[in-house]
Amino acid sequence: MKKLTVALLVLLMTAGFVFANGSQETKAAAPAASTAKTIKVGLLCIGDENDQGYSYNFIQGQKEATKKLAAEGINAEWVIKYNIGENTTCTDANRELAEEGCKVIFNNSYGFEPFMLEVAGNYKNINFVSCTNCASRTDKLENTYNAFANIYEGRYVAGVAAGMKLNQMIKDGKIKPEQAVIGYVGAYSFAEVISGFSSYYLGAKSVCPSVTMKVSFVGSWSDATAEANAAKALVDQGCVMISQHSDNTTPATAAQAAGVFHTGYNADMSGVAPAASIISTRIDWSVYFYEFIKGTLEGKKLDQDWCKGMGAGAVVMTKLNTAIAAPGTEEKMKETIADLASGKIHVFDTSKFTVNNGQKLTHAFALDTNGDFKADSEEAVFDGYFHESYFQSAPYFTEKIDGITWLNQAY
Amino acid sequence: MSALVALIVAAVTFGTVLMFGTIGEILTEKSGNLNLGVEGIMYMGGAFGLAGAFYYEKMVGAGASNGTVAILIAMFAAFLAGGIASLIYGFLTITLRANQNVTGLALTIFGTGVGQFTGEFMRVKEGGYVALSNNLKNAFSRAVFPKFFQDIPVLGKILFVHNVFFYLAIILAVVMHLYFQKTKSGMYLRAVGESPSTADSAGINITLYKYLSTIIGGGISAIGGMVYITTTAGCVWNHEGLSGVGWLAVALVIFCMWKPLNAIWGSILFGALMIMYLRVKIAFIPTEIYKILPYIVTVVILVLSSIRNNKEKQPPASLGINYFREER
Repeated sequence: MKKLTVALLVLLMTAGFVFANGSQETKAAAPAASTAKTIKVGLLCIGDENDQGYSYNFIQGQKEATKKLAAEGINAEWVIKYNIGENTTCTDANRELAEEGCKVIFNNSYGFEPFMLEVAGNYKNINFVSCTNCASRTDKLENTYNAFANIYEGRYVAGVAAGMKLNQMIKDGKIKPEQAVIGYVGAYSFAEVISGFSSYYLGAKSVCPSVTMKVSFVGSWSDATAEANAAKALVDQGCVMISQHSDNTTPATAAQAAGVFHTGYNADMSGVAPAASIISTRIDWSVYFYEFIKGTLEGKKLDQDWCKGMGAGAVVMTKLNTAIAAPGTEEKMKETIADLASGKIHVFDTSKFTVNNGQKLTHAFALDTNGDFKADSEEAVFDGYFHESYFQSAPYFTEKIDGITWLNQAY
Repeated sequence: MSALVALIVAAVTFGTVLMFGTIGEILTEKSGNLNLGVEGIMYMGGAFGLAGAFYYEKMVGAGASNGTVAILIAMFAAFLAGGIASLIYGFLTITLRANQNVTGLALTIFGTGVGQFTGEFMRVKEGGYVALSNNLKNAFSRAVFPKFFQDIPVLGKILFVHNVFFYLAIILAVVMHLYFQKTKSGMYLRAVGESPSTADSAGINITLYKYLSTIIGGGISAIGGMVYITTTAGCVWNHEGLSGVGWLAVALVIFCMWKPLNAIWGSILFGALMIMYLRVKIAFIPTEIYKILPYIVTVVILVLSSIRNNKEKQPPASLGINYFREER
């Protein structure tokens, strides 16, 4: 019996050596065969394609970027890890990707940054990117980067579409002007969400002056039941247009079930709510991925804090649901986009909104330099408008505009 | 007043899901089987129920899909999925006498995986959202009573605006209550749950009762998952919305003290507490504490009911214990 056991163990070890050698061989072969135009890229996602929202959007961007790079002869090999939590599994995942030889590692969620930073210092020749966050300016590391897009532009244009629909409802007598209330399902009470719903509100207000907004925070980027309940609660409190900063489609279907309208985020939701969802806005990450990966391969100096807007194609609107959109919406949106691009109008134009019950906004700091979550440097209000995403890519607009009511808060 | 009415109506939507889960689990537990796999069963019910309605619609075309037929197919598919999952559980615990807790937990993991896999498989095959047409969405969530009933002030708005599943759940709860209390077969089932050895010596077929109640109970819970997907999640496959619902149902069974009629108001109460933070503003309570409210109330009620130590409020005596005839 003992001889048999020993014989089996020896066999197992021999087999192990054989196969270990095998994989090493293939690894040795790869560098020889590859040209200088192959680059290994890592991507950490907080969810996966199943969410049909945030991470799905990143994966769409990744696929699109791979195509664009391949067209130029660059072969991007992706190693993607899904369902990483905003905790130490993120640190481990970053380390694993670094050890696997990735030259670029994208962290897709806001909450990944602190964990990414724990690893970035140990791999100085790998570029670590934290999307939607902002620490690269102050973290004293050369190899960390941040990126976002001027999503407030997309929100503004979606707001214009919503406002056009509200105008149509007022004209048809379905609602009175003061009943034009928008309900917004928010995630957390951070600047990113506040900036989003404020720009949406301003877009709607630019065409429908009597509009007001109610915001309900659910305390999570993705909680299907809570989002459905929040949307229903908003409708019960008189909202006739629902929008969201959260990942699930339940606000859209809840809006449709309640007979009101909706605009979405991250993905086109008119497929699930064709009678309610007018349009959605999303960030096209392929623009950034393409630039960054190409730049890394070519050894260029890369923008530590990248932010581009609709003009560069980083923010896109999904297809307008013409079956339910108000007539003239497509033209009005085109006009708005052109005006934003030319600088004729600005989203956070301080003459178009008031704060603190009727006061004009004359001063707001943009950046938080000491980590206490209160902005304390860089004046953002000048030239007649609040400069969002100007000093850093992550949004920093936190003012409470008159006309927007917060029903609760969530951190 | 209208805010209170709106609160109750909204609470019923999620409460119906819990009702099905709880009632099914009560049936299972009355026979002495502690099926902790309700979470997995509800996932499977949600995925297969939606698949049933979705493929039915693909087969006949979006224009020709009949709401009633779709509901029946979805219920049947969900029941079948839940029944098969519970059959596995039943075989392992009744015939092979494996530990019930472990088997139930394994079933949770298995069912969640199968449900999510099925949902994702459909999504990838469709290349987009797995959703039903507007026609069917309305069929699942519209009110069944005619407008006349709904217009009755106050009571009409509370009682008659709900979708068909709420009324089905109530009927199910009442039927189950009558079954347990008034029929001979129900009494045998309760005997099996209290003391299988006594029931066995009286000539009752223990195995048959345990198997049937586990399978039917599992099927009913699975219908709860299907109701979630078609009402709260808006007839669109959502891969994480059901997480935690099955566990709530298991807790609610204890909350209701194994009485199906209690499940009706218990589920609605729980649903109301879950959404209260969105509708009733209390200035000095932070939102986070407000959201814990349903769980605090559950714990308080559990503590109060255990203090009384009343014989009628006890679980079935052989709950969680496998029956070994040889030991009799």
